[in-house]
Amino acid sequence: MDKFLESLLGMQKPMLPDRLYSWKTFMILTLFSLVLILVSEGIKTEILAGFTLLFITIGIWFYTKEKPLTFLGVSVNCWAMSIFICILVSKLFTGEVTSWVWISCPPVAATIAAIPEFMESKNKLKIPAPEVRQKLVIIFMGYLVISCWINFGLTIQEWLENDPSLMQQDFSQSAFVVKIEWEKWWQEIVK
Amino acid sequence: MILPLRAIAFQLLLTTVAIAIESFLLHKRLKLSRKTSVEYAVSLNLLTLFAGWYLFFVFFSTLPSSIESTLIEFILFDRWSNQTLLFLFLAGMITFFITLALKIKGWEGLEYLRNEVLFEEPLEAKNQFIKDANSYNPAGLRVMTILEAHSYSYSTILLVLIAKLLLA
Repeated sequence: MDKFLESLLGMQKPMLPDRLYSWKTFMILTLFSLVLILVSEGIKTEILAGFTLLFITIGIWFYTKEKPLTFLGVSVNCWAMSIFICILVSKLFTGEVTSWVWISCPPVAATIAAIPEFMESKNKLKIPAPEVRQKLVIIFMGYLVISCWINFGLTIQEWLENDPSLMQQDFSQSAFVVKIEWEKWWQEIVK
Repeated sequence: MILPLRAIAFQLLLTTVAIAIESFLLHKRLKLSRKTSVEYAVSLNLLTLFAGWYLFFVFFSTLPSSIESTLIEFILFDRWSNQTLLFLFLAGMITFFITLALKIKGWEGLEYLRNEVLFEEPLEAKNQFIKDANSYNPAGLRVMTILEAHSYSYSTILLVLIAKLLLA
């Protein structure tokens, strides 16, 4: 019996956090709140879902501090964080704000990427060196342009919603937009 | 789903061309290092791109609905009318000067941020300049080079756009 308990504990060990502020702590909290959502009836699940997202976001923050996420060799820590922050905000404030949330996603990512450059040590701020400032200017401007593209896409969706008859016409002549049919893609992937 | 992927791809291509031309001219005329000139060209072009989009969104919301619908037709289905042509011509004229001013001002801001003075005016040159306005003036050279680079890249972009219009 003792041995069985020990092996059970041994199985848990990689799941247990080695200190308080670890991403594993927040993953356990996430699991806990997910279980609560499943179990609870009558309590407002939206609040619990909000907490779940909050825990995931903080968990990602700690995880990326330990092991930086990379995609094709480029660090995407700030993007993971900002996308989850944006989902969190859009869950908290539903309604008209959703388009604003997606537009503000790239600048938030740029801000998160810029934070370490302004930190000298844990509690000390500094002004970054001139070379770093140049880098930050390029990052900020590039991400702002990306958010403009997102806004342009959302504006087009708005036009199509305001005038549904546009959707029936032929888009192949356009120099700006393409029609992407996800259903077809999905069928090809499934096939 | 309708996505503006063609606009994004085309804008990336045109911006790359503009950055290449401008950084080459900055390197040649102002004797900046290659890295510095590329950094200046990239930051200034991204600034103008952002400003252009911002102005587009601001002006678009103020347009009367008849012009708005012709523009929507142009963007979504590439259908032309005299009104769109006039509108595009005006927009091209106005953006040339707005982006030129932005580049000159942005250059000053960038110099301040990078904490470098690229054009120190020696006192002699200043005195000379007061006596004889046609002599060498570093600040004037800088603005002239920005104007030159800007007009070259702008005309190249226009040529590419016209070529696309004729070939498509």
